[in-house]
Parts: sequence; C-alpha cells; structure tokens
Amino acid sequence: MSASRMMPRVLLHFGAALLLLAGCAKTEVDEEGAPTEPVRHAQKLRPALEYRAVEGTSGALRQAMLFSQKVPALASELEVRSMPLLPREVSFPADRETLVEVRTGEVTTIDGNDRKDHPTGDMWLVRKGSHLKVKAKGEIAVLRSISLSAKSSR
Amino acid sequence: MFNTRELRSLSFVAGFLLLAGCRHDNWMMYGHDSSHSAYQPHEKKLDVAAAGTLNFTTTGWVFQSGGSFVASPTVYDDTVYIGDGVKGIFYAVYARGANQGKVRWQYPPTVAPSPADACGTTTSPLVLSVASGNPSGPGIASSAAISEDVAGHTAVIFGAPDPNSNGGDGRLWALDAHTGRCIWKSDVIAPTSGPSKIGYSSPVIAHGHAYVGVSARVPDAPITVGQLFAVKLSDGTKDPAIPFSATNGPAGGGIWSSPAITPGGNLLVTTGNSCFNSDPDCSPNVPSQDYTMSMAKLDWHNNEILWQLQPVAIQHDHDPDYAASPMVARTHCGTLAIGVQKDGYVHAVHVRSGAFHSNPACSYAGHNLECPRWSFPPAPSLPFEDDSHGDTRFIRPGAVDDDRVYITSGGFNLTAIAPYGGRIILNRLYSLNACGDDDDRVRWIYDVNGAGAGAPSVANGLIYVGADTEFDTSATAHEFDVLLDDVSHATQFVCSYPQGPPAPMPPGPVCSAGFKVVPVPQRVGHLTLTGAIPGHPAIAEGRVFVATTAGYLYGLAP
Repeated sequence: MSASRMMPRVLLHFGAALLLLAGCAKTEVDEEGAPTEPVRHAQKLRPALEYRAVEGTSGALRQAMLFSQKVPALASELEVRSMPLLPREVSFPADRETLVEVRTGEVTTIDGNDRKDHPTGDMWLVRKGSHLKVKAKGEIAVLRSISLSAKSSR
Repeated sequence: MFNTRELRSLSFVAGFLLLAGCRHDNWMMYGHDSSHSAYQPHEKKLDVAAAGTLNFTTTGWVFQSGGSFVASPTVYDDTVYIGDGVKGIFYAVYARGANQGKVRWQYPPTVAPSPADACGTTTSPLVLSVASGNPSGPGIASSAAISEDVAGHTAVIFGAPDPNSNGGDGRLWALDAHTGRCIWKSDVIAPTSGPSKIGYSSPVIAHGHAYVGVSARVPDAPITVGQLFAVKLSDGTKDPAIPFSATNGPAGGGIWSSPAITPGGNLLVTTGNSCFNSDPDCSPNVPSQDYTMSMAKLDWHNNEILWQLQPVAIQHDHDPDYAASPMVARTHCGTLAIGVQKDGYVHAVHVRSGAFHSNPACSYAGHNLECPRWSFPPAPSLPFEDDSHGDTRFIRPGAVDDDRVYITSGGFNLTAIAPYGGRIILNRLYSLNACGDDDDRVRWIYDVNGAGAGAPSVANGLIYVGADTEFDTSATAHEFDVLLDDVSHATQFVCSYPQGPPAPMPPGPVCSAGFKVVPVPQRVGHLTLTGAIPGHPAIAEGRVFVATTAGYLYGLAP
C-alpha cells in the first residue's frame, strides 16, 4: 500500500483514539467557577461556654450556666443549664426539682432497676433527693436542665 | 485526502466514539461515579411501567450471603460486586443471564490458590480479629470501585482488613474483576496498632490513585485523627506526597465517608467530630489545624485545603459531624458540593476554582472558613454556636440529577420547637431545588415507610430508595420504593413543614406560618425486601441492585 493511501488510515486511527480519550477527558475541564453570592455580614460570636465537671462524675457530666434569674415571688432562683453527658453512668444532681430535656443525642436513665431510653426531645422531671443515674447512649448527649433553687448554686 | 463519503463515515464514527468514550452503563463505584451523584444517566429501559414490575421472584433474583451488607453494590460488565460486613467475604455475583444471582467468584477463594496469589492470602476471611466494635466491622463495609487500568487489569478495589497482618491491618485490595485473583493489596493504611480503620470509606479513583479515608476503629473511643490516603493504582503503594490529616493536634476529623472528585479533579472530603467535648482526656485546646466536622476541598496535587466549611464551631461540638459522603452537583447555578451533617442540616457550597477561599462571615477565631451558598433548613448565620447540634443520625447521603437534589434531612422540623415526646424524623426524603431561593428550596417530600430512609439513587426521572433501620441486621421486612420525580400531576400535598397544620385542599400557595404547600411524589413501584437498606441501590442496564443488612443482595428486574 502506498504512503499516500496509508495516510488517511493512520489519521483515522489517530483521530479515533483522540476522540475516545476526549470523551472521557471532558470531565476534567475546570467547571468550578462560582457565580456571585449574596453578601453575608461578618458575625460576632459569643464567647464559648465554659463547662465544669459536675462533682462526683469525673467529667462525664459537665455543666455551664445559660441563664439565671432571681424569682422573688418564689423566694428562689431560676437556673437553666447546658449539660454535656458522656457514655459513662453517673449520678444526676438531685439537690432540687429539675426539669431535664435531651437537646441532642440519646440518654439512658437508670432509676433502681428501671432503665429508660430518652431520644432527642424527651423531657422528664428529676425529683429532689432521687437517685437517678444517667448515661449517653452514643458518644455524647446534651441535656438542658431547668430548675428552681432556694439559693444560687453557682 | 478524503472524499465526501469517507468524510461522512468519519463524522459518524467520530460522533460515536465521542459518546462511547465515556459511556458507562455500569455503576462503577459508591454513588455511581466520582462525584457521588448516585445518578445513572444512561438508564432508559426503566420507565414508569417497567419500574412497576420490578421483582426478584420471576425475572429477577436474590442472593444470600448469610452475613450482612452495609456497603452498596457496584455493577460492572454484568456482574455485581459487594463485600460482606460480617463474614468478610467479597462477592462477584452474576447480574443477569443463565447464572444470574450465582457467585461468579468470591475472595478469598474457598480453595487457596496455588501458587499463592499476589496477596499471599489463604482462605481466611477479611475480618478484623479484635476491637471491631463498630457497625462498620468486622468485615467489609467499604463499597467497591472499578478501575479499568490497574497493572493491565480491570480491577475491583475496596477497603478491608487483612487477616494475615496483625489481626486485620486495614488495606485496599485490588482484585481482577473477571477472575477474582488478587492484583495487589496496598500498603497498610490503618494498622491495628493504631486507633483507626477503613470503615465505610469507599475508594474513589482519580489521577492514577485510589483515595480512601480512615476513621475510628471503635466509635470514637478512642477518637482518631481523620486521614485521607492516596494509593497508586499501578502497584498499591501509598503516595507519600498526598496524606491529609484533619488535625495536627488532638485527635478528630475521622473520615467515615467516601471522598468525591470535583470537575477540576480536586478532592472533596467530609470529616467527623473532634474530641473537644467528647473526651475528658482530650485537650480542650483547639488544634491550630482544625479540619474536623467539616466539608473541605483539597488540592489534588498536594492535599492542601482550598476551602473549608465547618458549620458548627468546635467549642460547640456535640457530635454533629459529617458521616455521609459529599456529592458534587453540576447545576445551572454552578457546581455545588453538597452534604448532610448528622444534625440534619444540608449545606451546599460552591466548589469554586483557584486558590484558597474563605469568608469572614462564616469564620471565627483560628478558623478561616467558607460560607455555603445555601443551607437547608436555612442557616442565616454560621457557624452555629449553640448546644443543639449533635448526633441526630442523619448519616445517609443523597443523590442529584441536574438541579434536583434528593436527600434525607431534618428539614424545617429541626428549627421548630419540638413538642414533648417529639421525635427527630429520619425517614423523610426531600427533593430540593439546588438553585432556588430558600423559600422555594423544597420540591417535594416523601415519607419512607420505616424508621429511616436509606441512600437514594436516581435514573430516568425515577427515585429508588429503601427503608433503613440503623444497626438492625435482622431479617425483618423493609420496604423499597420507586418514586416518580415529576410531580406535575401529584394528587397529595403536605406543608413544607409537615408537622404543621395539614395542607389546604385544594392546594393553595401557602400553609400557615408561611410554609409552602409541596407535593408528595407518586409511588410507581414497591417491593418488600428482607433487611434494612442503608446504601444506594445500583442501577445498570434496566436492572436495580439492592443490598440489605440481613445479607440479601437483590437483582430486581422488570
């Protein structure tokens, strides 16, 4: 076969290979440009909460005060706390009546032989003087406690 | 040089080759492709009529491993590939034909190869012998990826423990897709002497490498430093130039997910939580390099961060991190990186080109972060700095087709005040408009009949999704649905905040409190399968392949 007749075939094969490659290579082009977005204004974050270990829990239950307000009519103080809980069984403070809500995660409560699982959103009341134990089911859970105390317990 | 006839033929051939060059009717990896779209663009056989006849009893099939599948199936060349999460056996099963549903080969083989293969493996299953205590173990939770160029083979690549190496050092394995013979096992990626493993992370293939992440071997006890490794496809060695670590200090940022590849070839990762609040022994100091709880884009040349989204500030880390894989969506409003966090928020970030990007509006001390284009539910101010972002178990990734996103999210329920005894809803699949305004984000809402919804897949305007019950490996019935994405003829409607008052009938433009009326898609196919369905169904050439945690692999055919 003469060189002049070979040329188109060579080109054909070369072109075919090129197109096959191009078919796959088209995913590699830069399509990452972004249109203009609405302007967001810089925000000033609040200082992060300082959690302190609840006594006798070795840090498995910690707390930070979110809100406290004296309620003269009741001769007491309203306190709202955030309480991260780890997956270790610890006693929940029962020095006052406390309403507890699971803010995130899941929590198991142990009251004697009674074990109960509480998903996010559950609430229950911890009676003063009770012996309730709590434990996160996952890696961490966060409780919100709301209580009225006769005196500040900061 | 060419006459007219030759030129016409040449044009035809050129067009065919251009199309064929990248046409894959297969489901090549986790989430179908390296963008993890979970979208099969070539499916035309499965229309509404055909989807309604999908079955595993007459034209379809079912295979039982006797273990549990937590990975998602991969389909290539009429074969389904998947590893068993309990038994540690990797299966290649005929997808169709006379032998459909039968094992084509399994690894390790039942009879030891003679001479020993390149991995030197006996017949021992690929399981972690100790401390597997995590639903991603002890066997194979990593979904397989196909690469057509591994040392002259078409290979199937996945992460798994090596039973012949310190009780299960984690490696990538490359097996010949046709024969099942080992091509290589990679350098050790997750040694048993350390706290990490290759769990659910599935390799993604790009640039002659397989990229895979590591996370905690036992769920965050201890927590581990999340790392991304690049393994050379040619010989399975680690590329020392590309390790990525999510922190440079206290542990954190485990990569439980599969990295995705952006159109420019860069890497997209999602990372796990820090130890900031979850471990009293962990220093409360913020690492100077903190890529935990983030979705981040990495430069594929050197794994340097190009942008980072960290929606919850590390001081408020109560485990709301990313378990689900990210996906890259090419939409008419740009290319978006989209992922759902465990707290139920979906965030979408413009992938962007060029060097490092950050935005002071979403940054905080020690953190130069990027802002999302949108969040669902809307998050006008980031990062979050409250204690209500935790492990709410939104861990399944979504799917995307053009501007349409399909994903299980907390939706507006997350921002509403939960009634006493309220429950986070994990079975609500949302279709979101990736390019709409916040007011028009929700296209439709569908409640899967089950405790949760698995990862969806999409093809030819149909959505495939199964019911999921996390950690359940029992042989209990779970529903599998096929939904019609086109809701122009919908007959059911709900409010975009479904816990609110019922939608007015006939549907008006708004529900109370400004929530919109949105349609419920029509269910056009329905099956009851055995076992929970956490992963993406794989759609290939007119069939749908579904794996369950009860160890059932279904080949659904019309």
